[in-house]
Amino acid sequence: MSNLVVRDDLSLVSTGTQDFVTVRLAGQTLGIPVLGVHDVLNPQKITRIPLSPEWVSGVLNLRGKIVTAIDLRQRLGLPPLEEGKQSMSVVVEHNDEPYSLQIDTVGEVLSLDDQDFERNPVTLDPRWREVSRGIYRLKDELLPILDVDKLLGFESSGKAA
Amino acid sequence: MDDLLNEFLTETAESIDVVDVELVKLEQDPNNKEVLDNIFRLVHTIKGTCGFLGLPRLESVAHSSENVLGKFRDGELEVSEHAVTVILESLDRIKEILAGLEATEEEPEGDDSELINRLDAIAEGAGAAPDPEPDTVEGEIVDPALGRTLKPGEVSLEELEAAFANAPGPEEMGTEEGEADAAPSSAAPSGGSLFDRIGGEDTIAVAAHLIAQRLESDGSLAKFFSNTIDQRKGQFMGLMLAIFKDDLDAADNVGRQLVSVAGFSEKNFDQLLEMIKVVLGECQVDGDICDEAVMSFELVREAVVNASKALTKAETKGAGGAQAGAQAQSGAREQKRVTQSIRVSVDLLEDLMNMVSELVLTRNQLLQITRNMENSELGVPLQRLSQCTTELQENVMKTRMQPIGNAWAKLPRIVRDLTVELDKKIDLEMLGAETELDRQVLELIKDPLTHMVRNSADHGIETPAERMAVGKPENGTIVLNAYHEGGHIIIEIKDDGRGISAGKLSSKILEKGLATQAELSDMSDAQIQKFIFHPGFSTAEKITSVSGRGVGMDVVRSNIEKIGGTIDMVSIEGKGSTFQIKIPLTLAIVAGLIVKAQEERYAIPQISVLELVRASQNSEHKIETIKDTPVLRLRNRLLPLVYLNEVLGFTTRKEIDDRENVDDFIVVTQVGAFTFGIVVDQVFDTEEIVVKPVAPILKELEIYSGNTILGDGSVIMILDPNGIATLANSGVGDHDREESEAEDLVRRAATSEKESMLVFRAGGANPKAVPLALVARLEEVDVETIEVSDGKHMVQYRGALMPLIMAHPEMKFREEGRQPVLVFTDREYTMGLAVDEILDIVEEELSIKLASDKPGVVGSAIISGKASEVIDVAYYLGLAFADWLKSRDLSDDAAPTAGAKVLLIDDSDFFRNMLRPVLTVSGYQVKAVSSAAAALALMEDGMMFDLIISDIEMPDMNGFEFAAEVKKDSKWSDTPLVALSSLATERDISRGHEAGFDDYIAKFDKETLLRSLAQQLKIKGDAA
Repeated sequence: MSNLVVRDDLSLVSTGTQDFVTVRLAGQTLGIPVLGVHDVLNPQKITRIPLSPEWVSGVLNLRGKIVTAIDLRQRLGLPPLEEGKQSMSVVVEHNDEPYSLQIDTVGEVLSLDDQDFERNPVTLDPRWREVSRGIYRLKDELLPILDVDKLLGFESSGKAA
Repeated sequence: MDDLLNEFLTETAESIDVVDVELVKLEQDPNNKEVLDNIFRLVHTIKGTCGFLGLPRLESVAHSSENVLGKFRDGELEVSEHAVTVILESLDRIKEILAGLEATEEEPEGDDSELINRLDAIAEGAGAAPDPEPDTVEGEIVDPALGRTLKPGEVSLEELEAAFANAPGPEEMGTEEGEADAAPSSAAPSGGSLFDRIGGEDTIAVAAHLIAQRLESDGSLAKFFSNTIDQRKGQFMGLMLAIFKDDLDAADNVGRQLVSVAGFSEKNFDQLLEMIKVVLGECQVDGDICDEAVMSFELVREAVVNASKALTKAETKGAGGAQAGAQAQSGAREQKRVTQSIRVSVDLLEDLMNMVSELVLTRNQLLQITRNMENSELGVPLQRLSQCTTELQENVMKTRMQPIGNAWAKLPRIVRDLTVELDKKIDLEMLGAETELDRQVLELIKDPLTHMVRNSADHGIETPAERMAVGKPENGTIVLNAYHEGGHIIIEIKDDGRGISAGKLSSKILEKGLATQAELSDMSDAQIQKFIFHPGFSTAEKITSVSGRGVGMDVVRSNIEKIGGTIDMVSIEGKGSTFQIKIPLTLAIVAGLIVKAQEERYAIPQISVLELVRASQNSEHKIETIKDTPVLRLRNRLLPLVYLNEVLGFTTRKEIDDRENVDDFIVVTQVGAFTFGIVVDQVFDTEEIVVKPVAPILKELEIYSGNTILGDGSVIMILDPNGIATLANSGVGDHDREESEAEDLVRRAATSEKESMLVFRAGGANPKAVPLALVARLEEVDVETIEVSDGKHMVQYRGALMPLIMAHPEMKFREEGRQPVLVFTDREYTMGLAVDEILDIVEEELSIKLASDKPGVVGSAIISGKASEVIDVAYYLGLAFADWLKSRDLSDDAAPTAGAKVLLIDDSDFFRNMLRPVLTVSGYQVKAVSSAAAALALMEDGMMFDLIISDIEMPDMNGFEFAAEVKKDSKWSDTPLVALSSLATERDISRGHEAGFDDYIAKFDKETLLRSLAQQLKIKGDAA
């Protein structure tokens, strides 16, 4: 995010465009800043970790690296994935540690104009407000942007757990 | 940080460590020339390099200590404890400054003059002998350009020092003029040395300063001099001093180090000469002399250029390149170069290790894949790859291995300092210093080890006076021993000091409120001693500068447990303590046992696994429960169990209990002193696993110590037995209790003075107890089978009639079901003692607090923290069998003689066990042995008793023979001897008296025995 300016109506504006990977999760589309995404993986074998917070779905092996998988549906208060369907992984990094966000499907990469960016509406579900940087107004839908650091931050994760 | 400075720091730190050790050696062996030379050389190098880098504080301290060392070497000064202490102090100062240097890249502020004065005073102590070092000149040459002092040392390498030394003179006058005047008279008797004609050190200093500055701005030359202006100035100053003083070796050496970048050509050297010429001109050096001076630089042309070429050839092998001009080097230095080694940063090694770990994992995955493919052409190359990987792994592991001696290097010094400070004499023995282990582990145990050795020296070893008083040699010994044992390394720290006093600890424990008096009285000495591992515990009465600051063994323990190790201690008061540390060789790769719970696999570190047991309904081992607590009988012990499925939250206990056709595997695991079983669904095999830390968000889950990738590519979690134990204990039971039980077992093996007591309940709420050794069997008798005959209760037992006696008159047999019975057997007599309930078996030192006049009760004792009646089995045997015990009136029972020491010799365990409480309760101190030979051995050891009671019928040596032996022989011949025998005929008695017995008493006659004892002691007392 570059050159953010607070406009009169208190929404954030900056000049230029940003690239986001869109992912779909229980019918909702979400954006993840493309530079933060290391890998997108097809369904993987995930080892469960008993006693872990419920939004941790387990660990998986990414080319010899152990990656902690985060159940994004659970984390965002969405219903679990229907039986028999497998989730895909978007690997991001937080504090030099790789995490895999378990999502339903991956969409395209969008280059979005900063003009269309807007702050979170105050009425947004607190769970979402906490992890959303703001919303892009797309032509036919709204795209909340995930703040990966907040999503994986300890303090907030404690509350969610 | 500047590379040069960095290297200097590493090297100096190493040198100082060596000097530390060597100095202590020197102190013990002051005539060891080799050690002294080595120290001198190292300190000299430190000093030289400091000067070279422009570190005046460091240099002056090093210089003064070198001075003292020089005097040692020249035999002008005796190696004394005081001198060594001060030198060690100066080394500490150097370390301090180095630490500051490392942190800030600058010498910290500080005043060393006090220390230097002391060092100088010692050096002065040498008497009027002339000082071979021109130290007094130091600090007095003022660099006009900088306005600060310059010292000869600042420019020096050790060769340069040699240059000075080669120009001896009446320098002790020490003034600036003195130096300038002195030089011509010595180095150049003709009065025409280049050095003087140029204008002495002043001019050279100025010139060096100028050259250093010019080089910075000179486009073509600047790139060859990567060091700072100050360093460069030092170099040139040194170079010129050496050249002008005609010291070719030194000049050669400095010259070779002048250029630190490759590619310095002949042409560049010419440019340099040109510059020097200009500079000298500016310094008002006469034209002719200037030319001559520049010419003399030709002497080092070869050295400079060659050195640079060598750099070109092999940047990393600087030492090799330098050999070109190093013919004049001493043998020792040559030898040093032969060992080809390079410094590699630890980070690089860590990276390498990580990469290799990845490689191993990938290899394992590949192997797994090809195993499932038939006739794959990948087979052969894979095999080769596999082999290479293994070798690579081994070799990389080796680079991380270091001898444990590295962690010990500081210890001789520490112990030596302690001996001085605490006024003790301590020998430190180090065995197995070459034992290698992973440097990561090494780093982690360094501090705990140091701490423990300090503890041993401070708390353990007594002062010489104390030691002499208890008959130990004046010098205390601390032994460090390291060795490999099955994938682990064992380190023992053993001292022959005073051991750990359970008494002292107890009062401390109470004071700190860590346990109550009742809890303590329940504990064995060993358990109390283990309190030193308790957080915030320190036993030193006085806080010394050494230890006793309250961070104690608990920190040591947690540090060791952090790396998957264990620590144990055995301490005998008065004899010393032994600590044993067991740690894995490496942290990166460990052996893990792969187990399964609920379709998921987990690894348990092999180090904590003791054994595997399979338990099923029909097998020998079966899981039983005590009010929901699952346990396993394992070799006469109860092993507490935890279900992994339950711990991990997969299933509830009810689901587990409701299973059918149970077939469980139990992993017997040890955490500290706590042994427990982890019940898993299945056990696979052991695999070498590479431990990877879990993600930070999972760190709080203490049941995992990490995760790993298996050969098939799947990720599994590594269980931490420690965490499971904690989790299990918080949920299932009382950890401390279990721990104490585990320790009980250890203790049972270690000590023999304890009594196992069987605790039971019979009529009334208070527990009763009987020495377990007296109990033959525990039975449950069906009440239906109890018969009454001749007014007595009987059961048919093993083909005979066994009388049943109530343990308490108010007790009644159960209405139905089974009656618990203690069976006592003595020769042909077997009786059953019916009780209400069998409570426990405890092991305690039996001390009967209150004697009882109630029949059938020996007295009351505190057992498991409760007042318990100790029953008199003889009384019940008497009740059961009229002929077993003769009744006696108790009217003239003599008053017991308090505290008299009685030796009891009887081959029958039963009698020893029965008589001991009887005698104890009467106030005697009883020592019981099982044979005459053992008794005689005690006599040999010089033990004395007030009275001896001996059985007659004993194997090997009978009572008569024993009495004859005792009476004939010395030490015990005055001790009253009482015979105790079932052979009580007239003839036996007279035979006993003949043999030397003072009295002869029939067995089972408690009252007579007690009376006789009192009588005999009285006679003895009257006689004395």
